[in-house]
Amino acid sequence: MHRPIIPFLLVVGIILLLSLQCTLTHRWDVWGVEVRPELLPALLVYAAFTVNLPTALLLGFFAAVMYDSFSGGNFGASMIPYMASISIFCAVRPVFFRNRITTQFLSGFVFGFLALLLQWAFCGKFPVHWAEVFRKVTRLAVCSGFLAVIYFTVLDIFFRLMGLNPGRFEDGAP
Amino acid sequence: MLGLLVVLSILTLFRFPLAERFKEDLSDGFVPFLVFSSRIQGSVRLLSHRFKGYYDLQAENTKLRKDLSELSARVTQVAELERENHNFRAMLDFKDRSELKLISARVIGRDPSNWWNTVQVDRGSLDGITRDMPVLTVEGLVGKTIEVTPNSARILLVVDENCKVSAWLEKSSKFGIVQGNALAGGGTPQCRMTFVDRSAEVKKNEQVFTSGLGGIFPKGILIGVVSSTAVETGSGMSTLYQDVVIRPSVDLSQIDEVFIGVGVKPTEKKKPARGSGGDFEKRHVVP
Repeated sequence: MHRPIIPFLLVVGIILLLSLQCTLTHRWDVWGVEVRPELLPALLVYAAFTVNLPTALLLGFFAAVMYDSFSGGNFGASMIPYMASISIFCAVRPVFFRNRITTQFLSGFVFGFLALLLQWAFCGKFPVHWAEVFRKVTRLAVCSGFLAVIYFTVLDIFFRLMGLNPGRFEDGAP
Repeated sequence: MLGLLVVLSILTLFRFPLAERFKEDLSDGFVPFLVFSSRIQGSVRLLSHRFKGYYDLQAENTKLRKDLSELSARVTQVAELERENHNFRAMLDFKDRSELKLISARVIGRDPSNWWNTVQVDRGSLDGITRDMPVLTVEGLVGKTIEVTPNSARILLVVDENCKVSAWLEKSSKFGIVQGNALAGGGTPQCRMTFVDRSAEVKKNEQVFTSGLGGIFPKGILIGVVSSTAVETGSGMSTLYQDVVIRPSVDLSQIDEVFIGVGVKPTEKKKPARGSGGDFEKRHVVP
């Protein structure tokens, strides 16, 4: 099995998760705030830790385009948040142990926090109070952290069963 | 020896008394064995019946459980159909007596973002939908259309910060602007009414309707009910007003079907509203 199948499967994953998120009506109470978890940031963290920078940026671009086309926000409002966060994670990933749960959780948390905060900044809803935004972003980022751990575990097992090595990003393979 | 046995066999055919006596003694001697054997057989039969009954009961129990689960599923299905039927009847009734020309639409998607409160419906410009059309349900106001494609339209919900509706309070008869406030209230979307006269005595559970000003939302559509009030404490002009928090009348997280108001019905086709004096407000609101 060739490694380029990984980005392709991640694209399929983005489409499936986005469809799921668009039809999800349930809101979860996380520490007193009702939120609907964002499913994409955690998958993009996985992409940033698995494929090389250009491929990860392409995936981020694709995810942002799809996300914005289903959202009421401006088209392109998610592009900068996603691509900036992916660039940061691709730059720092060599110093992290990808397979550690703490790394996965913290990466999901930080990525979610950054991406969601930037998304809010670009959506142009400044009348909303900072404290409320911070409360919501923190909870969504925590959800993103947990989702990142789940994605890393499930997708790594899946790719290894396919005979691929998802952790081998240093060699410049796609 | 063999000859003796043959002779004895032939002699017993002639019913000699000695042979008869021997037969009776022999038969009598075997009675305890027969009794014992019969009791054993009875016990075995009883046991086998009990086992058979147990297995039958078990099979019957399994069948009844299966039947029960099927019936439960059917009852749930019937209840769901009943609810759906009730909703459709209410919608049909509402559509008939509304003064607006309404097109029903099904919600096909929700906004993936946590910052926007929009839904997508399966009606678009091919059905006569354009931007800035009011969207409502039997319970009240839902929002307005903001993006329209040939086959779908995006609706900005009334709880979104970018949705502003001119409104009036039913009892206080005061006007104000209802604006979404999705992030307040622990994430439960709600609205706030601003620019309400500070002197107005706004009561809890007071109903809020659209005022008809602004040109998008017709007058008299129920927006929600007052859940709390607060006098603004800011400086300058803002202290002249009070803030009213409004709980939307429609559960916007659960809407499946909505109506889009595409115009006003011709006057001669109007039907009197059920149980109302015919005033416009009541025709848009089902209590």
